[in-house]
Amino acid sequence: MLSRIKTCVLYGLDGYEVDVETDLSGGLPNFNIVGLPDASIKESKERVRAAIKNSGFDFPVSRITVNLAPANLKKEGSQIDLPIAVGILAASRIIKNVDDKTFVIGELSLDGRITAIEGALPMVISMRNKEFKRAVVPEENKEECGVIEGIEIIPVGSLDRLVEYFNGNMSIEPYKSHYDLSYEQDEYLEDFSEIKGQAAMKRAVEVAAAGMHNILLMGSPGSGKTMIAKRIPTILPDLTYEESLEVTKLYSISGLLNKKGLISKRPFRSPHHTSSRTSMAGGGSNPRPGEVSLSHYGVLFLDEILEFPKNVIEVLRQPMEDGKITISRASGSFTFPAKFMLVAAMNPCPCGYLGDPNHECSCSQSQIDKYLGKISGPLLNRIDIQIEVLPVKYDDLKDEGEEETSSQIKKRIIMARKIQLERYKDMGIYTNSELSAKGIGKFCKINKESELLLKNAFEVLGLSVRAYNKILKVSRTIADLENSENIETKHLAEAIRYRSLDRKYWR
Amino acid sequence: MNSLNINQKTLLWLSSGGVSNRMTAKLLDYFGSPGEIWDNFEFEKNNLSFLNDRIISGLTESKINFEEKLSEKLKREKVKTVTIFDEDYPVKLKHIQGPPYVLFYKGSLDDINKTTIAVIGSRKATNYGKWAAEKLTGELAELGVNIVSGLAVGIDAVAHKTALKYKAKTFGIIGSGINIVYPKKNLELFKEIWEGDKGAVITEYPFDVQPIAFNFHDRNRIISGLSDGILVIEAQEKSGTLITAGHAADQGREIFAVPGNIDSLYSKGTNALIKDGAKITRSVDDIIEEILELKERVNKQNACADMSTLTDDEIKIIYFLKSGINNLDDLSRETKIDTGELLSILTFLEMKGAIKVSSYKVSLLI
Repeated sequence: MLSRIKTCVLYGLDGYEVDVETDLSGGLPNFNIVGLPDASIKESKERVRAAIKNSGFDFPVSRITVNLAPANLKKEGSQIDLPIAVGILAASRIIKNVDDKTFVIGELSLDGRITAIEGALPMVISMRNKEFKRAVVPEENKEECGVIEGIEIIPVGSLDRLVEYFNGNMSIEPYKSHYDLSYEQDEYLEDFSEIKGQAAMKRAVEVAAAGMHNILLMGSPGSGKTMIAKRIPTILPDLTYEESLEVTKLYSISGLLNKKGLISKRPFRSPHHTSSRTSMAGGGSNPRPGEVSLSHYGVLFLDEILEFPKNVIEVLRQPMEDGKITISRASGSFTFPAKFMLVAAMNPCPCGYLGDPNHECSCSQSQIDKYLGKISGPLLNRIDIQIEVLPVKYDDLKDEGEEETSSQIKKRIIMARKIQLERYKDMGIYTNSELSAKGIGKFCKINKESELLLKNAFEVLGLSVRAYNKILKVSRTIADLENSENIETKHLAEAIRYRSLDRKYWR
Repeated sequence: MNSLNINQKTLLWLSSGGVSNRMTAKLLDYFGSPGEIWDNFEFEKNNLSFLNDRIISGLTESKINFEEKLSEKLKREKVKTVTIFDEDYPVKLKHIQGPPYVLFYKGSLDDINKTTIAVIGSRKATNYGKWAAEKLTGELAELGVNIVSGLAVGIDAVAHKTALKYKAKTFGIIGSGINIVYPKKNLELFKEIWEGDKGAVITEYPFDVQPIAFNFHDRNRIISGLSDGILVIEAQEKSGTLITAGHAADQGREIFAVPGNIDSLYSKGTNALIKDGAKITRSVDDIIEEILELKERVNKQNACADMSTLTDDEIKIIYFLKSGINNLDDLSRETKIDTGELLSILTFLEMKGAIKVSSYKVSLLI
């Protein structure tokens, strides 16, 4: 009396196929799980026993051995509950037949209900790629799993229904969730039009969003840094299907999906400055994605970036360079994608009023130096746009003039992104900010006049050398925003403006 | 040479007749105007107790056919003259105390009213002094600053040579008649300056006056008088260089002094100047900082285009800046120019040296 049920465990974002083999034999009644199960799986014994009993089936009175094969792979996760229960029921011939193109995931509650698990989406995707035909998933996970093509999703709410289904007494329609990536549109409570004045900052943010450039906003308190950062999601283009799948996978394994299907909006994460290194990078004994990965294809907003501990900030360096983060733990090393647009805001000095025409700065020069010194050169190096934000004037606040709405800005950004997608379609990158030095040479050609301008700018404005490539990348984006094939001198001239911090604070 | 007007004729006549600048002042005082002097000299000559008889008789004699004789001589020696009543008389010089009534010069006075720095120092300069003179003069010359000096050996010669090398205008003020080259060693340098449009060799003394020590004392007031500031490279204590510095101080010119070792004889004077409040000069930036025109020029020089090449939009922005608007938001609202475009125009303007954009405001430099 042996049964074999297919299921799945996750390593990072990858699902591995696992066989749940169940053997019932004579002898003293006993229940053992072998095959490197972790604590959550060992505990599943009790849930499985109670769930089977409470669903109205007999729990076999015999020696039960459950083997999770391959035996060398460490397994963890509560999704193994359901396959173990199904395995026992199949071994005791309560379930007649389970074909080996079906896999089962789900957690059991004591009353026999099947409850939601984390990471259902990446599991289903991985198993589909291994040519499985059918996935039995918890009812609550059906929205996220239902978007995947090429595999039947069988959502089940309780163990007894699943038995009926397997025995052919009841049919369950494979679930398809209708993903319409635009259905969440215009749900934002905030809008760009609420920001009065601040034209230069708005434009810089628009350029940054169009090319996914990292941006640093420096300004005194109350200048609207946070306000504008919070509105960046409203002008970002919606995720494409592929991007959305990737993001949803990350959210799925983090248990942040809330029964929703695909995530259609670009993530906007704004971790607080008390966040730890692990929460930023990801980690844990069984690594989970951190903030850098949760903001994949979206925005990572670090308000008061200098208040973050230095080691937390420096964690950003690898993902900003490679678009992914690798976490090494005893159980192995895991790689999560982390392509985000960093939006950092900071004060120019500890008191915040350095350079503000309306307030006196009370900091000493050494305090200021120490403060600014917290942000390292290598990190700064990866921030394409660095601008100073003006304090808001009272006149602007009461001004009733028309401001552009988010959707107007978004239209331009979508167009600019399309141009970039088209240009880089065979290169594995999506946006200008991802251009390598080689790519810059190829796609950011400038004419003689522009070269002269750039050369002069370096001398007159005292830009640092590291600004060179950034200015080119940003000018590429500005040109794209205008649907201009070539980078023209005016585009370059505008890009130069976005390095206003370079010469003043860091040289 | 065009015929002389009465002012020019009188002043040149007096000067050539050996009447010193001070005496000329007295004569003008006495007669009221150059024309009066010319017309009434004969009648009054016995009353002019401050002129000695030799000069008076010389003047009487030279008055006959004076203009023809002088013209011929000037033409032969390629010397030109300018008097204090002429329009092309150096503006800065006009306002010092005891301005020379007449200047004889060889070369060209073009651009003499532009920003000018006198570079002066000891005749027996050390290598350090020569190095400093060459470096600082070179940097000034590259900014297009005129270099004035005294055409002596040592620092003076280095200053003139460096100015010529960097194609800046250079003016040498000498303490002898324009036809006397002193020191002889510098003949080549004299020639280089007066040939072509590279500046001029200038003196207030008429032909044939010998370079006597007293002349140099007076000459020094012209050096500082022609300049916006004087740069003292090396000077001994109680040297002619310090006299020039004294003149400069009287005339309200900026005084820059290059510091030196305290045990160096040739830096005693400069260090003393610094102690007395001269601006310590470690690099050309110290000079630029003090002289407003230079500051502006530094900005303009960095321009990649000329002012006259401003586009319509640029002119529009400058118009609004002139009307008192000084921040980006207001500019974009008033000009109705798209923000992106506005930012790029501001970059162009900044490159052209027309504006300066700092974090909170845009300021006009022109």
